[in-house]
Amino acid sequence: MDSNLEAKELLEQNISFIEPPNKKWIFKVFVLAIIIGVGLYALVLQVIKGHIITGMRDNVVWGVYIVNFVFVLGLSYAGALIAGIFHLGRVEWAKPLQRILKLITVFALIIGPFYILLCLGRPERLFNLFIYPRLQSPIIWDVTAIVTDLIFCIVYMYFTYIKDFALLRDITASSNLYSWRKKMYKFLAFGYQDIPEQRKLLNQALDIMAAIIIPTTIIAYSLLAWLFGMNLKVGWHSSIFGPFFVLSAVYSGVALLILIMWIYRKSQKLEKIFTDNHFIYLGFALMVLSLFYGYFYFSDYITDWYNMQKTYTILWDKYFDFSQYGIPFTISIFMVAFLPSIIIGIPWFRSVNSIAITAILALAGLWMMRYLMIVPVLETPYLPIQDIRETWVHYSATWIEWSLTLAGIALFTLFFVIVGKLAPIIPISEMLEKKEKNKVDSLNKSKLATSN
Amino acid sequence: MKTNYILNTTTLFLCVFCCLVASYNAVAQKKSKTRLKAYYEKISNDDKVISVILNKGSGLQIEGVPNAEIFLSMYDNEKEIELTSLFTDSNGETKLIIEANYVFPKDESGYSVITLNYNGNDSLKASKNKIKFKDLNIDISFDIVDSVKQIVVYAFNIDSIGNKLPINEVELHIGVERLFSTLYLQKNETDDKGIVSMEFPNDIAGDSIGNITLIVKIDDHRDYGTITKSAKINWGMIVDYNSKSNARSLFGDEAPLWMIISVIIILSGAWYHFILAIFKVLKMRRIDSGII
Amino acid sequence: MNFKCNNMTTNDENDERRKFLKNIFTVGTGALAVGVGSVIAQETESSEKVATEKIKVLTTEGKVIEVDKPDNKCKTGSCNPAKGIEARKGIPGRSFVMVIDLARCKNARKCIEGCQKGHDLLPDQELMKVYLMKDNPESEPYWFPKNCFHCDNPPCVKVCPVGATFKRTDNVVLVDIDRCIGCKFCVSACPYSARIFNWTDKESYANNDSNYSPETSVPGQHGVVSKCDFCPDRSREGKLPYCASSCPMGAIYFGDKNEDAVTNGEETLRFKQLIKDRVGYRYLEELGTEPNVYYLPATNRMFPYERGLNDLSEEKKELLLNSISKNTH
Repeated sequence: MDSNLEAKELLEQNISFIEPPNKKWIFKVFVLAIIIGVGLYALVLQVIKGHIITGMRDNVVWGVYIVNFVFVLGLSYAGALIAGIFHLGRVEWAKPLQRILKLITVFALIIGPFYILLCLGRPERLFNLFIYPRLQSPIIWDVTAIVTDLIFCIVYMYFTYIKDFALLRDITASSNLYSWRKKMYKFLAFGYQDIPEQRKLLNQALDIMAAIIIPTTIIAYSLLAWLFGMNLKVGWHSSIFGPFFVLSAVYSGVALLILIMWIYRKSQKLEKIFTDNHFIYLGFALMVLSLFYGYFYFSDYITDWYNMQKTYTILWDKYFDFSQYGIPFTISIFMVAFLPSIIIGIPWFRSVNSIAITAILALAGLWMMRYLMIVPVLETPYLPIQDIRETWVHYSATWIEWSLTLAGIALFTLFFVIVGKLAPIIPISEMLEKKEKNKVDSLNKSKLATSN
Repeated sequence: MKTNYILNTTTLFLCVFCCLVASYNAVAQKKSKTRLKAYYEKISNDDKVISVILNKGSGLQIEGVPNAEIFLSMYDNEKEIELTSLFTDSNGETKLIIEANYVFPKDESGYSVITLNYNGNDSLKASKNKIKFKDLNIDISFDIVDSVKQIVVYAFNIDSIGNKLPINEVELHIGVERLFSTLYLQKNETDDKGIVSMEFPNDIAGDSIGNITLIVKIDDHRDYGTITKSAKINWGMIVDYNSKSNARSLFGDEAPLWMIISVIIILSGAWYHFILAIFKVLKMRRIDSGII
Repeated sequence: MNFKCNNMTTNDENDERRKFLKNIFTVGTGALAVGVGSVIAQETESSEKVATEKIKVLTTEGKVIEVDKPDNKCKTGSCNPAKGIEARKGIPGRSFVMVIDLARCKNARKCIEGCQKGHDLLPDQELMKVYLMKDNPESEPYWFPKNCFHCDNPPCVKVCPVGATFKRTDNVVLVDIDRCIGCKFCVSACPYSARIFNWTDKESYANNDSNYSPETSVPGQHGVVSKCDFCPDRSREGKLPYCASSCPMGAIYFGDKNEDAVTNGEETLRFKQLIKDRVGYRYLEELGTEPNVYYLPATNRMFPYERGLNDLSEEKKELLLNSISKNTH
């Protein structure tokens, strides 16, 4: 009973999702739907007219779509990886973040493959991948990894929701909520009654899932990294790509986590749950990751620079030449490798808002770094591009690609908005569980945990 | 005065009229030049081919005249015998095949002559041409002397009695037939006996059982035209026609075994644990139906 | 081409032949009238059908007869371009290879045009490209025709997820566009930039029905990948690929490695000897792709390289000269 009261307290803090949609919510959905609608229009245009209306041409065959794909998939795998580590490591302060991480994982994993479909010249032949697969191709490894990971992550996320659904089922049983919602909670609760045997089994299942998710995501993202690393192109053919991508993914995942945490904290006044300490811990994690990122990138550069191999030199010069990619490169590398250390390392700059802004900038910078990893490399083949058509020499994305990028972001946000209305975005029962465990220790400690 | 005036005007009229007629004729009768070319060739089965091309225009604007009738005739003791007429195709080309055993009438020096005539039409001028040729026969024989493969080519003429008369100082190209062309191995003139011999190298590739087609050619000779003769012999290296498509490899149809095995191990490891977790949750559910 | 089987020797048949010959003459004169009229009217369409089906033969007896034009004997087992699964097997016993003599290339670009005509391509789609290359600051620039190298260790075939591109026993790497999903992984994997993608739709693509064969690469499709295919449909008939037969300088040699013979249409050389004598090399050999197009170094050039700049637009000229002087892309 006591736990139910505390649960009610937490729920009250998070109550908006139980109420029917209000104007603000509908407005949000409407705006997002418009952005997605524009994206869909662009998609239809592309299917009808072909890829010629994008910026992709014979040399830069992969543009913004693949950048988005790699970036979004990185977010997804990072979410799963971080969630798994927090879970297995029984990290207490990270408990409120678990739900958001899982949601990031699943939503990004649903959106990511769409960008691949956009990149295909013949999307209607997608099932050839399953009829005539060639195991030697990195794309098949990637497809297997994504499908496996998608199934694992959805199921894992559902498992972590079971306890909350059970709680909701019990709390709303006597309320006057819509009956379809009551039925939904009952169905989704999967018969969980919080009996010790059930709790043990569910916790075991969660531990197993967390344990297999971690290697799965690392392997899956390394396979995606090797799609580039095993390519002969200068700038891609580097042994550092596997670990570099995983690190980059975790970095972007943490940045996104901070961002979402900040949005929820601000919009739903959840200061007691997403406390200042959360921001500080994650901020430090961001700083460490940014330093690692800088280290990896510098390592890649200096090993190429020392020898000045012909085509490598041409490629690297593009990043430092201000008439080519110099400006985006300098800005991005600053935002990604230096800014977090400044803002978070120096106590005077450190605050919840500044940490969040650093996270946003780091996220944008990471996207730009991905773009710089893909497009200039494709513009620098071994044989010089002796073509007078400007669009065939330099890639510039068209409105089609940008609108579909924005549509992806909007869809991601829309998922959160909708799911936020159906279930809480903090794992209430898990947080209660911890409270129950700590109850034996001291009341003060648990009060700290809730009021911080 | 009056007669003078009449005389002057009539002459003027006549002049003008003549000019008009002349100019009209000139315009109407301005015919283009045509060129009639013919080639004599003897092919491998001893049939002879007369190839004819009728062209008009000059320089870069040369083009064939389609559907033109060319009359062929030959000379027999100063008498012109009509042979046939040929129609050119869309490129202005046509040909006549003469069977091997047909005996051409010859003149004193042993040449056979064929004349070609094109009568022209309203816009094209007539043209004619003449080719003369002598017959030449080639015999190819193969021999292995002291395990060295020898080819002996004999160029000869058959006189009226049936004797073989060797022909000397004729350049013969000897080669093997390849898929796209002929690979010539040697070029030599026949000696006094009309013979060219050649040592056949050991590293020429043949087909799947080692056959090669030897080709002997006389190229655009003044008297003998172009003569080709071929013969098959099993002196080539054997080429494997049944090589299997790539065995298991990265770029082959089938993946290397180690790859398949690793993938199966990794996937089954992951999915086994996944199914294990699902079973635990299902078991959890069954407990519920037991209690309530 | 043996007409002996048509040799009729009996008297009856001689009479028949005479009658036939008379008929031919009457028909011939009539045809002459029509023919002359048509020449004046300058109609060439119908005349194509008149002369190509039959050929005249002067028999041993001195009679002129007309027989059907013989079919060219096919030089390989089958002269029909293979389709579907059959296209994955190569022409038996062959191993095609190409040798390009850089000393002869003067950027006439006839190879590009011939290929475009033979494969129904737009003027800006080039399966064979000609680059202006300069190996080092001291050396002389040279023209570098480059098509697909049909590598023995092809990076493109390795990465195709559906097996739409494949390597055959006759050394040729083909693309089956019925299976291609257009992921463009092969385009990015090729280090020689040999592949192109069909970005736009074309009217002629609508003809894609059972006529398509990976050996001809026509008719193409929208949204799939395309590349030089070494023209195996022409090789079956003993004809050189379009590029080799279009080159006015005879710079492109093509042949069968197993037969050890390559030809540019005029001269035929022994492949191994040629590579040995002229020190033939393969481009970017160190990448380990094992290409099947060999280059003969640009020594003892037939023309100075500037000759190849003459017919180009100012823009293109400037671009090429910049490209080699900066040694940048």
